[in-house]
Amino acid sequence: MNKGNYTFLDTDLHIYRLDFDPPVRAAAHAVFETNHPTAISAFSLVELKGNYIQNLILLHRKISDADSFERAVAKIRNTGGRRCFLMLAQLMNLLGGVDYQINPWSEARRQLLTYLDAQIEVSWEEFCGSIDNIFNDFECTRATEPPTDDGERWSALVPHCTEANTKCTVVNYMKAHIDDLQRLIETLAVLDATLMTQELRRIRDVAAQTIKNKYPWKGNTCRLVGDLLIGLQSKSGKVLISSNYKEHAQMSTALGYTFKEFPVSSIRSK
Amino acid sequence: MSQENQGAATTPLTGETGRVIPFPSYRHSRTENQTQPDIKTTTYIPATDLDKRQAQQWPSRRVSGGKSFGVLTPPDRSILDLAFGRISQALQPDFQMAELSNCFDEWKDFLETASRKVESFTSNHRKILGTLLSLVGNKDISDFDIEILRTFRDATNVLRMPRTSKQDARRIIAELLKRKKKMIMMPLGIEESAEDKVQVLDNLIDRLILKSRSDQ
Repeated sequence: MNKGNYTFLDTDLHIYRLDFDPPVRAAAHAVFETNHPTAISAFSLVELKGNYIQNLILLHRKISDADSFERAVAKIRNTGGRRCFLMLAQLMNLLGGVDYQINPWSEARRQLLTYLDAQIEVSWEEFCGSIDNIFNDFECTRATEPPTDDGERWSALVPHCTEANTKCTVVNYMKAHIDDLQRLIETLAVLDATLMTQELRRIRDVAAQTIKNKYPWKGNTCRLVGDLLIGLQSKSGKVLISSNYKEHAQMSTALGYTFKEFPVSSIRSK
Repeated sequence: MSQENQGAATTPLTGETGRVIPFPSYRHSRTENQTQPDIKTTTYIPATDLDKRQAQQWPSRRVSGGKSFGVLTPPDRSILDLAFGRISQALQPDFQMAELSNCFDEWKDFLETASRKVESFTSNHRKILGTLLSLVGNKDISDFDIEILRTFRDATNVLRMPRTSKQDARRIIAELLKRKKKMIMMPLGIEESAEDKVQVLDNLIDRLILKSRSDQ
């Protein structure tokens, strides 16, 4: 297996494969089909759990707990926000729209949970099966944990790290890239302020603390600097395709990987 | 003997012994039975009684309701037996096209009914059933080749087992995905793409809420 042949796909490409907008969906699918062998960083699985599967789990929980459709909608809107609300609306749309047999609620609820159980299970299989390889050089065990269910409830929790977790393999992985991090800090230090994003700022801070041998990884630091982890992993591949232009355009030069933009804004139908 | 009542181990329809998943009297799953007693030798509290006891202490509206010994009950199983019969008939080589198509459509109807009516499904049953429904959607028999129809039959056979393990569900889902046509997956990113569509979805939920109130 020669990692250098692989095209790395960022997490957003997986999300775009599920985009509501057909041109975006088609373009993302084409990226998967025309760039074999394809790969993702295992860290993308963490992001997928956080960005997609958690939403499905929220829908599952709220529908399961609600004693009426109206109550389920309210719970989803109030606790899951607009994105979860729209996911529910799209599910209802897929199941028949206004003609959907919402009464009796007990039956509709059973059916909705059937679809959601399948969606959660299948989405993980789909994510893992849609690419040719998953590279996990930082050996993060959290990344590869699939969503679990106890027969009733789903969980895709990514636990927060504590300072007691001194064996975090991500930390060791970062330490092995001290030179890269140093170059990145230098690049970002002279970056025009208009090009500096919030994520780049966070990445710079985490890189600086790592170099100083401090421990910046407690809590959910990984999730906040996902582009850095994915960028470092992509060094081993041929190219990284992502729509995160602002971050990867800067990091790719400093860290030494090839970046190709997925121009989602221009693809999206107006 | 009617088609519905034929054991899964016999394959009179295709003569393919070994392709249909056998139907054991009970199952051992390495992971799931670790905390469960051997149902052949141990006296245990039936799931239904357990539910009643739990309900007194810990009221819950959860649909699938913590059935530690969740087993597909015979009345619920009859729907799945019918579904299995129809998808088996949809594979009959000597049937006319119309008959095959009607069997397939009736199979879909039974699955749809099962997803609404069957109370004793475990989450593993639901994963398989939901995947089948998401794959089949509004498609016709002509949208699928013989291989995937056989996979549908095998999946339906697993669905009517009293217990379905996580491994069963994973295996069947992997098989279905391997042979998939397009599966319904819930899309994302709608807010960025289509404001008018968002409005339509908002209205849809409003109308469904109104409709649901008529049931209360």
